Amino acid sequence: MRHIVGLLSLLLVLAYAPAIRAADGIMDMSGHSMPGHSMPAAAPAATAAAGPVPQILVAPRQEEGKRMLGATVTLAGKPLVGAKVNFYVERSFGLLDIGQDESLDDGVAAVKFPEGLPGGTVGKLHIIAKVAGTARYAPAAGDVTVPADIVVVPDPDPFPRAIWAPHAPIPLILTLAIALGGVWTTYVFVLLQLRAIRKAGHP
Amino acid sequence: MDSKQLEESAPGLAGTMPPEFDTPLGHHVARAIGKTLAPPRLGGKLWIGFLLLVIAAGLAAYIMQLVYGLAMTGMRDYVSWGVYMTNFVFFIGVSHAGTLISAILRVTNAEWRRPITRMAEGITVFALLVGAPMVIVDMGRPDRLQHVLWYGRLNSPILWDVLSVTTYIAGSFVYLYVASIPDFAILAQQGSTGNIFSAFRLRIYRFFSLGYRGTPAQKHHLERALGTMAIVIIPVAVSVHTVVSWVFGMTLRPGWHSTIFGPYFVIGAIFSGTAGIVLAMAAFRRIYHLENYLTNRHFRYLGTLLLVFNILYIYFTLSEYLTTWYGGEAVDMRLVDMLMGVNHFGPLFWATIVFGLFVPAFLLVLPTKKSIAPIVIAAFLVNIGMWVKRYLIIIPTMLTPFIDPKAADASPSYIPTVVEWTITAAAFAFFLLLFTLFAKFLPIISIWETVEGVETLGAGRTGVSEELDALVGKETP
Repeated sequence: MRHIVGLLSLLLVLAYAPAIRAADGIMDMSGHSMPGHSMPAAAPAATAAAGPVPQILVAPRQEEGKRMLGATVTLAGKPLVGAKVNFYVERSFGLLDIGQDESLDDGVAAVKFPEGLPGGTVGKLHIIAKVAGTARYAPAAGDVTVPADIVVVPDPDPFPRAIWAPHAPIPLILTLAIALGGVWTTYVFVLLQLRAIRKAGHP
Repeated sequence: MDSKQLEESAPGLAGTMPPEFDTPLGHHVARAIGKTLAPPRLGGKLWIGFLLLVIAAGLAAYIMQLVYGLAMTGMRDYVSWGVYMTNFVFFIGVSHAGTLISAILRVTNAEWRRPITRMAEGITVFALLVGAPMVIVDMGRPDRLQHVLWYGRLNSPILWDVLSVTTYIAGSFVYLYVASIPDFAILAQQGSTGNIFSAFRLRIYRFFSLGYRGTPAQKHHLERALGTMAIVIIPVAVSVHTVVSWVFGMTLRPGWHSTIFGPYFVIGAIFSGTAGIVLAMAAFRRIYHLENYLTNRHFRYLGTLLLVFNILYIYFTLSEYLTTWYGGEAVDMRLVDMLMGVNHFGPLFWATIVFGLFVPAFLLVLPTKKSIAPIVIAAFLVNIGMWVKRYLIIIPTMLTPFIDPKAADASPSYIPTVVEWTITAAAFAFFLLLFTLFAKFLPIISIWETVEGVETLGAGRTGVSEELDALVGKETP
């Protein structure tokens, strides 16, 4: 039985491995800073095989003294002009849309840096830039992890009295243990009396 | 046929008695009470068949609920506790009969309790066996029940409930058993000499009698065990219904979040439990002609207890709802309107107050020296009223969330479905079946306690017919 369960688990892992790898590529949950890189985006089947995949390099930049997020889109080593680039920040339950821009002559599209967006307890923001596919090229995405302005300090005891708190309060545990322990000890005492009745009945 | 004629015609327990009870009184009581153990006649068989039919219908309904899910019930997103939880609170309440009648009266040396303790303790055990699983019936995924133990949080009153109800069931079983040991010994002795039980049944009686022969050492241990259980079971029972109330009271919802919910539920439980024992006594007295043992005096005393708890319950009800209404909080007023207004639960609420509380109180203050009918009718009304009252505690509050459903264009409602009513009927049928079969397995009136009471205190103080006094002190022929 154990072998069958093990075999089934292995088959499941193998079956899901490509999907897991793809998900890892799109969303790196580690929170560590890493250089921006480009990847093919998961795209609708209609445009997925339409043409070559553009390269997208995402990086923070300064424009006229303002903090921006830029995405440099290239196709076959040359800047791709007029590509519509969507910028997102990965959050706990999905991607937060932070803006859209069209790439200029140098292939760069840029949006305002999302200042004031908390970067979790690790203080990082995972930025993703996506280009939808067209008849000329396939969809693509690039990402970068950058330091956030706000680092969330974890609450050491976020649910001190909630039902879903990780641990029950010690006084509660003690009260229940003493009350239940007392009652069940009394039951044991009564059972011992029954044993004594039985012994006295079968000398 | 009067009770005397029936005693003579029915075989009862006519074999030999253990030395301790081998007296004319012991034989007489065993014969009179033991006839309840006779195999059921046609009426009894039809009754058991009817109960089995209702239970089968309930099982079919539950299987349907398991297959198609809780969508088969009237419960939806707003109302997740319906008649199943009403049954749970009701049966846990009825289970207080055993504790009150048996344990409290034993501790306070109320000797008239002797003929009614067995019934009371039986009610406790069977009400718990039927009531506790109602929570599982209410669950959408009963196959995940074990998660309560594996992932249960001590922070949750639901887990306190699981722990306290389990402790109460265990204690009630032990208490019922300890108080039955001498009767098991009587039955084992009777079976050995009278050839009236099957070999298997006799083996069970022998096993559970623990070889009890009434020796001083055995009596000492029995008294010790009984005394200890009588004391410990009282706080356990009180805590059980308090914790049941906390499942509601510790939820921040209008109508539930109340500091008096603990005592309010405990009083309500003892109230309905006492009414339950009155009904059981009336039924057994009528069916088995036990008028000499379940006398008018027992009914009068229990009627007085019922009246006391009736008045207390009226007091708590007034205190609870007056405070809620007087505060005038918006959400509370929505609840009060739903509960007492003419458009919603008002007619049911006021009918419960009148017919479940005031009419019984009126019946209970009537002089009842000659007839027990007013007390029995009052007990019947109380039990119906207390079931409906639990329904009115649960449903209107669930229909009154803090955010007014009108704000979300919702109009929540709850109408129990046929599936829920069938399962509810099956629960009551199962309770009655357990009690019926129990009466066929053990004397429904404790033989040893009754004999001991009449011998040591007299029939008057034991509450039984004073004709039994004539048998005390006589030699066995």
